[in-house]
Amino acid sequence: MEQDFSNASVAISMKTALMFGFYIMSAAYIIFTIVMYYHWNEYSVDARVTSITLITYAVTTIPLIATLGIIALSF
Amino acid sequence: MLFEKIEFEEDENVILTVRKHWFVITAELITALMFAFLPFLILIFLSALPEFVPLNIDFGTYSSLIVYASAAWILLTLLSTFMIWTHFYLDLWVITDHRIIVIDQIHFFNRKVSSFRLERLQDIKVSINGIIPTFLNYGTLRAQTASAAESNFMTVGLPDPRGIQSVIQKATDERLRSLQGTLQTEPD
Repeated sequence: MEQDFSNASVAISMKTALMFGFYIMSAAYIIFTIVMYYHWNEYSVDARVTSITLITYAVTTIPLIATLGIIALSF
Repeated sequence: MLFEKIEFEEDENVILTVRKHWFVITAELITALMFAFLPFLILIFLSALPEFVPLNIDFGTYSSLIVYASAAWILLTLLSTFMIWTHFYLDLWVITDHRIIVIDQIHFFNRKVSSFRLERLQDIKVSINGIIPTFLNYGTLRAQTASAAESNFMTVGLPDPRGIQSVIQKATDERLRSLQGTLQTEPD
C-alpha cells in the first residue's frame, strides 16, 4: 500500500542548521587550506612571498571560521 | 621550493622569471573582493528603504544570523581571492640560457609544466590587443618549437612581451653560437 507524503514536512531547529553549515564550511576550509599549503610549499619560488601569503591567509580566514563556530555553538 | 625541483644543468643560469602583468591580477582581485562587500551593501540597502515599503524585519533580532551569513559569505570570497592569487603567483615563465620552462597553473589540480630547449625554438610571436594592454604594455606571447604542433606555448597577460621576446631571441642566438663553438672544437 502506497503512503502519501505530499503533505509531509521536515522541521530542523535553527541551531542544527547553523551547526550543519559550520561543519560543511569547516570541512571545505580544511581541505582548501591543505591544498593551498601544499601548492605554496611545493611550487613557490620565493620563501618570503610564501610566508606572507600563508600568514595573511591565516590572519584573514581563521577569525571568520571562528565566528561561524562561536555563533553556531552559542545560538 | 620549485627551483630546487627543477634540475638545472651545471652551467645553466636563470635569465628571467616572468609572471602575468600586475593589472591582470589587480582586476581579478578587485572583482573578487567586491563580492565580499555584497552583504554590507544589501544591509545598507534594506536599512535605507523608506518607511512606506512594508518590510517588517527587526535587524536586532536576527543580528547573529546576519553575522553568521556575512562571515560565511566573506570566507568564501576570501578563499576564491586566495585561489586567484595562488594561480597568478605559481603561473610563470622561467627563461634560462639553455631553455624555457612554462608553468601553467590552470586549477589547483591542473598544473602543466612544459620545457623546451632554446635551440629548438622556431618562432616567437607577440600580440597586444586592446586599449588597456596597449597603454600598460602587456600581451600574449606564443612560442613555437620544432617539435609537434602541440608543443606551442602560449600565455596571455605577460608584461612587456616585446622585451621578453628580445631576451629570448638574444638567449637563443647565444645558445646557438655556443653550440656551434662546441661542435667546431670537437675533434673529427
